[in-house]
This record gives sequence, structure tokens and C-alpha cells, in this order.
Amino acid sequence: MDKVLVIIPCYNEEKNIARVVDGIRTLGGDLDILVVNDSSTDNSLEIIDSLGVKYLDLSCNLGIGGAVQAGFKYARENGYRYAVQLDGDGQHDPFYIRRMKEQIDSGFNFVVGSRFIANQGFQSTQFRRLGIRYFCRLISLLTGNKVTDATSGYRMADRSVIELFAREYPYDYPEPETLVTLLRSRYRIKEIPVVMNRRAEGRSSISAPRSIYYVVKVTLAMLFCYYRSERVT
Amino acid sequence: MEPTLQIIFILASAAYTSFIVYMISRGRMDLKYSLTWLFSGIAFLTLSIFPKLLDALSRLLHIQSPVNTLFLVIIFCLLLIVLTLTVAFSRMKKQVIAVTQELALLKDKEKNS
Repeated sequence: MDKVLVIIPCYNEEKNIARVVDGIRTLGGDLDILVVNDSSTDNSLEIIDSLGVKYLDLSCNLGIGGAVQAGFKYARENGYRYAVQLDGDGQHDPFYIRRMKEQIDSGFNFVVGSRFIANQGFQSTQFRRLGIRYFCRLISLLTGNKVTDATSGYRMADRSVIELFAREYPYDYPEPETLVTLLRSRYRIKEIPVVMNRRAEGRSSISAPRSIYYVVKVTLAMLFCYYRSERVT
Repeated sequence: MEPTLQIIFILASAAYTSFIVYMISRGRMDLKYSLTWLFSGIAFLTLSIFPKLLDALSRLLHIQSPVNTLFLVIIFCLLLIVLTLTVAFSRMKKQVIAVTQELALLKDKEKNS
């Protein structure tokens, strides 16, 4: 199938989700939208239902990883060759989906939208940029590959990566960890410059006190990924 | 070991072990996850009936006071139990995620059929 599955994880995004879906719809017909409602406690589900898009409704709150993986399982079962993950809060401009698809068509397995190639648009806070730089250094140390935006949640997978993620996907903070797994297993990854927006409504899922836990957990996860993949290869 | 202490120890261990056996026989605890509990009960019971074992173990580990060896054994049992529980719930977390995703996919199929 030549269509792209756009996976939008949605947890309490009643104020943003309709705008995000409309934004994708204006881009045309070869994009299939799949919203994954991660047991939102607000009106998200009703809004998603009224939008007339494909959606999955998770009965338990699984967190971002479990929600996105549900999307990859959907993509696997329905034969999609492209699946892009796009946040439900409006940070990611769907305009870049086409460009990502071109990269997959030219032979890459995985395409990441990076804020830090063109350095335009919302660049996150200084504190977070420091964290992102640290993850990038760690990835280059572990895999020898250069990455500029290790935590970007705007990513497209080809069929082989869809199948991999449908089998195994971390359930929280999956972005940097999966990059290590993919790079260690010799998947071809391409970063393209994107401009991200500040989120329109609501707050980020990572609050200040959690950021320490985030850094420690993701670091350990990356090291375990490295260790595990070494034993496989 | 002082006789009174030993009697208290035997009674406490017996009560503990029989409670665990009771819970398992009633199906309130899964045998798979209560093996560690059962194992700890048998260990306490053995040590209370044969306190010489505790003394021997203390000499072996170069622990001066046998009561410290007893604490060590109890702590070891607790660690073992908590570890097996962590393994068990990690497995369950994976299963819950898989089941939730499967259910969502099925709900979607049902909706579209």
C-alpha cells in the first residue's frame, strides 16, 4: 500500500486534536489518519469520533510508548509501508510528511524530523536543549552515528521498522532508546530539518521534577539497548 | 538458643507457614508466586526446630551472634520475595499492554464491520 499512516497519540488533547487532524487533511488523500486515544479523561474520544477519522481507543492508559505501538500494530496488520508518528498537541507541522516519505523512498528505513538542523522555530527551553545534546552525544558514543534531535517524536518508519516496533517498543520515553536500537541494528536513519511549533494548548508531559528521572531512565535504557543489541549481532 | 525464645520462634514460624499454606489451599495466592513465601516459612521452621543449624551457619559466615544470622536469613527471604514479585509484575505489565492494544484493534475491526 502506498498510503502513509499518520499515527497521532492522544491523551487529553480535546483542545488540539481537531486542529491537528484538519491540518493533515488539507494535505490530501494519500495520508490515512489514525488517532490513538490513550484513555483520555476529557472529551477527546467524542471529538475524535465526530471527526470521522480512523481511531483506536485504548481501555487502559498505556503512556506514549504503548499508544504509539498500538498504531504500529495497526500499520503492520493493514499492510502500510509508511507510518509516521505525529504529536496530538500541534507541535509537529504535517507539511514535512511528504519530505519524510521521499527519504524512505530513497532507501532510508527511518526518518526523524529534527529541530536542530535548520535551527528554526520553537527550540525548546535551554535546560531541555542541554538534555537533548547530552542524549545525542551518548548516541554518537554508543553507535558512532551523529544525531541532532534525539528526543524528536516526529518520526517516520518504513515497513521493516514498523514490523520491528510492532513486536517490541519501549513503553515510556521511547525516542532516544529506539534510535540506539535502530542504529545498532544497522537500520539507515535520516534526519531532516523541520520547524516545530510551541504547543498550542496544555502542558508537556515531562514536568521539571520528572526530568531527572527522565534523564536517568533513558540513559540506562540506552545502555541496556546497546548491551542487548551487541549480544544479538 | 534460650528455650522460651525457641518456643516463641517455633510457634511464630508454624503460624506463619500454616497461614501461607492455608492461603494457597484456598486459592487466594497463586502457588507460582507464593513458592518464595513457602520457602521462607520452611526455612524459619527448620531454623527454629534445629537452632544448632543457626549456630553452625553463624560460624560458617563468621557472624558472632546467631541472631544476626537469623536477621540475615529473613532479609534474604524478603529480597527474594520482592525480586520475584518485580519479575512477575514486569511480565504482567507487558501482557496488559499487549492485551489493551489487541482489544483496541479488535474494537476498531468491530466498529468497521
